[in-house]
Amino acid sequence: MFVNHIQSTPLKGTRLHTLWRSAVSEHGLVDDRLFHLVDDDGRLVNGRRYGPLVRLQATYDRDRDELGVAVPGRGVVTGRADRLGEAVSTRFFDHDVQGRLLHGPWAAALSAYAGRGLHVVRVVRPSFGVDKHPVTLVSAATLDWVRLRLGAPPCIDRRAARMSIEIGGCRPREEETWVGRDLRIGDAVVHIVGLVPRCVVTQQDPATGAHSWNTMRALLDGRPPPPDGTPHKPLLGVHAVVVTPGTVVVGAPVDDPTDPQENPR
Amino acid sequence: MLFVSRLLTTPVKGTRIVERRTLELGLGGAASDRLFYLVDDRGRVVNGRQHGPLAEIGSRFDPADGRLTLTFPGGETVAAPVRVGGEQVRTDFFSHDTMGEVVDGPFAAALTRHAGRDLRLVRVVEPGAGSDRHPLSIVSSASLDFLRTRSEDALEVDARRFRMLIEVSGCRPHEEDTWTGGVLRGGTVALRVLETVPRCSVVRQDPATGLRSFDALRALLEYRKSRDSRYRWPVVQPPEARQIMFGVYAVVEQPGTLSLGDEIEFAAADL
Repeated sequence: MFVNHIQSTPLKGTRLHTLWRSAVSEHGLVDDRLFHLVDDDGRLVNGRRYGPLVRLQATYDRDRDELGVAVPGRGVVTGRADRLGEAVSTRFFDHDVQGRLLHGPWAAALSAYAGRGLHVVRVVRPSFGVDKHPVTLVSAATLDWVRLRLGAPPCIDRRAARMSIEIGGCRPREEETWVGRDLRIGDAVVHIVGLVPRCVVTQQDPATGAHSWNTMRALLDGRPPPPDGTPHKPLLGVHAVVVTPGTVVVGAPVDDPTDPQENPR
Repeated sequence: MLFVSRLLTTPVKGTRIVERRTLELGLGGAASDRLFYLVDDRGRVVNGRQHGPLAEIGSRFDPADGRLTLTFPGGETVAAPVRVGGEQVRTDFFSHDTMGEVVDGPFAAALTRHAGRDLRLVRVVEPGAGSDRHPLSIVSSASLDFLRTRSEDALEVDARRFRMLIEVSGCRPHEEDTWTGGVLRGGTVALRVLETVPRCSVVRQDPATGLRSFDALRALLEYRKSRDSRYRWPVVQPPEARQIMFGVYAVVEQPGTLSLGDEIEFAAADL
């Protein structure tokens, strides 16, 4: 198995960047989801609440500590990412994320674009901005499988799935058999924690944010309900915590850390 | 679990490949696939290898009314019922000779204008004879993915570049090499896998334009013929293979229908 694709974004909910290589710290892919957006009431605004966020493209320059956001029709809005304001706590589904409001030119441009108040928040610690665990994994075969359960192309692609690392060369849903185990990815090691419950973002066209596919229905239909009566959730891919930081590169081997290396770059 | 993840055909050999949801597979291969080919003024076959920009031409054949439609860049469309005038040709397809009948009508003139050289359209006499060596070609999604990960330039390599009929997902990269001799069953068909596919310079071309782009042949060479012990078969091809192999050829043993998403079962060769 091998790393098939890496994607991340510094600003949660915006268009994903395809990466050839990324450092992985204990907090996940470096600079992934360092920032997120909240509305005037302090509620999280992500792709689930506002699909067209994917039409924004954010870049973060670590050396200059600058955040740039390309807004359709308004160019790139750039500013320093260290002008921190009020401490805020943002509800992320089942936990609260601690951050600081970021002063800069973004709020005006983003609010005008979205027709609602939007404010940038910088998380207090990297990895706080992810939904649950710092790294998410899915196999290319699983995405193919979901795509075909939804009918023919064009339909869900990897950007709609919004997973950080895609694994090539395995069976569909093979990643689910790794739960509870360590996995070596490049020279990093992660521990697979569990399956990822998915939301309506997976149903949106990643270019426009428009509702396009019934992905959640396909995911629900793709497996029987749990026999113990716990809720039947649409699951796709797995999430993981980082055991050993390192670097992941497209094409790097993915295997059991106790096996000799296979097909490295 | 293996399953069909892409089906690609074209009625006119060398022209743009089209994604399909379902294929009718007969003993001669997929219905309407490579039913026609092009020859030059000396009767030699002309495909993407001789003239890359053929890939810019869209072709559609409707078996119900026997109409062929060619769409050229710039919007020109030429459509007519296919009529043959009785001239038979024998064309060297490198691996075999193919018998064909020259198609009359507006196609030759339009193709000649586009290519800037004399081209004639020929219909194969026997379905399946328009393929290079065997009527079916199969590649795994994992092999395509593995190739894409070999360099940053390769990331966007399009599956159509390899002009394979059937793409199968759910296995290891180049696992299809190990299917040689065995049978794949899916939908209502059974396919016998025969041998690996030797690749030519067409894989260096962008499938949308036919122009040279990422050198997939070199990228394949680097790992398929690697002596590096970190690579394991089947990613590395057997040393006796002289050309660069990518995907496998197959023939239909049980005709029927194969559709996107159909699960595939593999049975190894009987010994």
